[in-house]
Amino acid sequence: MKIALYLIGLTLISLQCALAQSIKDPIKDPIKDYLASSDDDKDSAMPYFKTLLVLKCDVDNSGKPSILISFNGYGGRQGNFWTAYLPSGNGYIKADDGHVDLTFRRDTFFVGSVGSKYGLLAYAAGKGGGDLNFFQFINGQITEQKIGSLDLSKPQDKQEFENYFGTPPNWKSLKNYPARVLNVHDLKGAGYDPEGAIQRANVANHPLKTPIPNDTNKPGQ
Amino acid sequence: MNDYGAIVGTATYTPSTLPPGQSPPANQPVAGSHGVFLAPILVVQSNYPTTQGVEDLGPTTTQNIIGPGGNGIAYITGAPAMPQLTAQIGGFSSSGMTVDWRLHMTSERPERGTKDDIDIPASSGDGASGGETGENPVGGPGVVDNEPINTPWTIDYPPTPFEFDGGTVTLYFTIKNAAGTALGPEQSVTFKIRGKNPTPSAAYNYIQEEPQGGPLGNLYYAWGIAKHESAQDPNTYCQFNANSPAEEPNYGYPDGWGIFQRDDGGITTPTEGSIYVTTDQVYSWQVNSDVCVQQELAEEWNEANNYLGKQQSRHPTQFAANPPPPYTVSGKTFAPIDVLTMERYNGAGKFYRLLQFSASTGTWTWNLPNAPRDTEPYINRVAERMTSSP
Repeated sequence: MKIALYLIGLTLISLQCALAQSIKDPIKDPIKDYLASSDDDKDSAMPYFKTLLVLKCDVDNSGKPSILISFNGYGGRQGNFWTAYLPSGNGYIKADDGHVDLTFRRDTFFVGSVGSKYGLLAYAAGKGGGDLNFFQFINGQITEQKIGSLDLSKPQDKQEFENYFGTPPNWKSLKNYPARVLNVHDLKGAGYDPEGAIQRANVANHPLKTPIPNDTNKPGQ
Repeated sequence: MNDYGAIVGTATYTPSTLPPGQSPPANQPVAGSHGVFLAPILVVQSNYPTTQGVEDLGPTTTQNIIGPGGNGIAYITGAPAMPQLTAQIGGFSSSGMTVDWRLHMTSERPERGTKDDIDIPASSGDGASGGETGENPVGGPGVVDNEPINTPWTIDYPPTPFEFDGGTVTLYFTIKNAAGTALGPEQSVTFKIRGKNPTPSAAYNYIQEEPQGGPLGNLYYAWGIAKHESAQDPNTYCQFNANSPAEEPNYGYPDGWGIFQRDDGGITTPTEGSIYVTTDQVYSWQVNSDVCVQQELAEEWNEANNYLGKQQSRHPTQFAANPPPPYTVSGKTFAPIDVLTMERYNGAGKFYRLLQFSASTGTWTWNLPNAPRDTEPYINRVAERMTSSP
């Protein structure tokens, strides 16, 4: 019993130390952190990694750019799944996305004030229109609120869409927040270890069934 | 007018008297007698689909696109096949005269920007059939030069990824005399290349024959995705619009194209990592299907496969006793890997939010959000489409 209490005590102390360390030492290099961090969902897609996507935009109205990171193909029609690194001290903290998936398309997002609130507005594409999802970054946490749906056959909805996102192919977000697109070669040249991240995911993955071959001749490319 | 309908003659040019102090234009013709011609141009499609409406049942005929009876629209057939086109100047059958030809194509869909723009020939010397003389010496669009005027120019399309293309076509031609001297400035005519859709059964059968796309394949529901994604009810499998603007590529905001609404998230170059929507995918329903099933869906299935395998290794006892449940809707029962693949295709959320594990009960439950602007999850809509085939 004493040993158990002692172990619990040690655990609490180390958790406190880790917390204090994270406050003291913000993340200096979000790209390094992103490549080093791992979860089951991200690992499942990592074998198809080709390019890291890095955006800079002030999503928390701090006056400093946050760093948003994802990679090719990690997501679907509604957009990539992104990790947000918010400015903190002389580095960054990873935004807590425990309750929402920060999901948006690079071609249709808006950063700024929507009504009286500040955040990132994302267009989730559906059939004939889509949803407007509003992400806020408050005290290091991400919240999401669906603030409406757009029927793009209706002129007023289309106008609202264009006000935020522009007209194809002249998307405002692609112009205002161009992504740094870093392939494996670029990342290695910058001192990162993308192949290590891919290898780590490959080791972590244990496919349930025989994978569909993906090294055959690709049509249409 | 000669026997071929060309108006041939001479005209005398007399410069107008300019006001004091005004200079004549730099390219002002020389005063005097000049040759004049007004020649008919004929553009013919030899595989013109005869089926009315947006679906193509297959029969074709030879049809003027520019010329008598032509309405200025050539068609990609439902097969699909690009229009087999020839161009010819009438009226100078055995004169020794020649024609320089070139063609520029640009999409009718402004959303594609310049991604589908092509020149035929693509560059100086490419595809030139009449030797080197007269080719554009500085690059840029090439010229098929010195084609005998009494010989039709057969338009050869470039290889993939522009094997299929369409839009507004501007056909340029310069008529030259037997000595190789241009008889006048380059002239042009314009026409459209639009598209017909496959029949639903043709599309259904093709997708079923894709690797993994058949009834026993891992992606057996791919045809349901295509049917749902491209439906313009009552029409389905629409590579090209059934609705206005009819016969132009089927586009869905922000960047979905064709039978599977292929979407690369608006990337501007193929090097950005996502599976790029090439011109072929916009204008060929088969290429669109090939890329979606063999690359995009295959990749998403593999991701779901990795994830489920990880759950099995992480929770082996629970996975053996109470594995993730199937999902039943519209009388169709889908395995967990099918559900995760389809929902990932739609981008509904990370796997662990869609299929939630409870540590307290040791079970997995589905938590599928409604698709955007919808009251049902994405998979439900696909399942609805699969209740009847094709």
